[in-house]
Amino acid sequence: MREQPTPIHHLARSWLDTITRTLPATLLLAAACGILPGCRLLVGTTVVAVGAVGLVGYGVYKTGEAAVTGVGSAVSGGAKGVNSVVFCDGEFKATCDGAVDDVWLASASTLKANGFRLVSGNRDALSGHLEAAAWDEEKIAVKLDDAGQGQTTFRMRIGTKGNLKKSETLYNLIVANITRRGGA
Amino acid sequence: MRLTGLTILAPLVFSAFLMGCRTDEEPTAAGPIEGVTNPSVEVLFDNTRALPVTGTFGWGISLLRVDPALNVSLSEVEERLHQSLLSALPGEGFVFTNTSPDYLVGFAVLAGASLDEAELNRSYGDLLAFPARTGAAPALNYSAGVLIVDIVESAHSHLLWRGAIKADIDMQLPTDRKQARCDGAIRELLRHYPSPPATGK
Repeated sequence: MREQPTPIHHLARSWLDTITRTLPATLLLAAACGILPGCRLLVGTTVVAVGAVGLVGYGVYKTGEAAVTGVGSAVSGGAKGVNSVVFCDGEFKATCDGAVDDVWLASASTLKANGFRLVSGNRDALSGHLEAAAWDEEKIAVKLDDAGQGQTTFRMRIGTKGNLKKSETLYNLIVANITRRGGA
Repeated sequence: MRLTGLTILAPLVFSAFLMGCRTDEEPTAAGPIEGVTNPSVEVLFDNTRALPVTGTFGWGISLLRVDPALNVSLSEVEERLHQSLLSALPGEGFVFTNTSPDYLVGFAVLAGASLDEAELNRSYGDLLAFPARTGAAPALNYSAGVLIVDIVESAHSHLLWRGAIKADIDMQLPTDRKQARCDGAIRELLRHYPSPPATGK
């Protein structure tokens, strides 16, 4: 006996037709998402990227693709020519122009000239250290390492917890005093 | 009868293909931030787990890279950003502590300078174990006026979330308005934590 189509059958057929038409696109979308399990698909014109960042387990997205001209656009690429410091766990770290010996001499003379008492210090061509004390016996420790290309990695810790403001002040004074041998 | 079977099967297949793929609503456009124009946000996030919405935090690195011609005090910038983060992070469920925090919150500020992802990661030293990149996807590069905020799980030195906002920065902004600018930038970034804001948030 032939079954009579009912409204439910018509609805189901229409649904099936729709799915059949959209299946290839659905499969593509599903495959793309399946590359990164659990990826979040963000819809909307302002979001550009989903997932594929070359980092396993990470996703990325962006909003507001406005062109950014920024400030000081003449400066670009790397630390040279810019003030660049990292302050982490109380330690101030920067890379400055000048050999270890140049920076060591500038550090020692600057600390002494500004009333700090030099406690100990030594250096060679590749590294050096200095220890000084403030009037209240707060300790200042400076470590220097050759960074190549005529630059030195400068590390400073003031007291036990460190102090970015004081470190920045002293560092700027030291850098102003660096005399590079060879006339650079 | 065959039709009835397919009718049931098709949606199931459709749903199975989309398993694990969530669709979020479009993030709203950035609201106005004083002294900042043209902002755009880029977020890198751990895709394998739900990001934390409670816990303690302490400070990670502060990386400050500024064109000297801008004559900016780096310690003042750091102070402002710490203040902004101390105000905003409790709203995300985090409480500040000096001792053994669950998460380290670090930041980088670039003004008239650039920084690549590898250098940023190296700055953390042992505090961050960043996975090696695979495939041809390029590493992220940041340039011009950028503020990057990282949330790192302390116990495993694992980066959970890295939000970067880049924009044109008005360097003539009066000093007494700079805190408001930092607050606005941090607020805008944290709108995207732990997930992109839904419309109207």
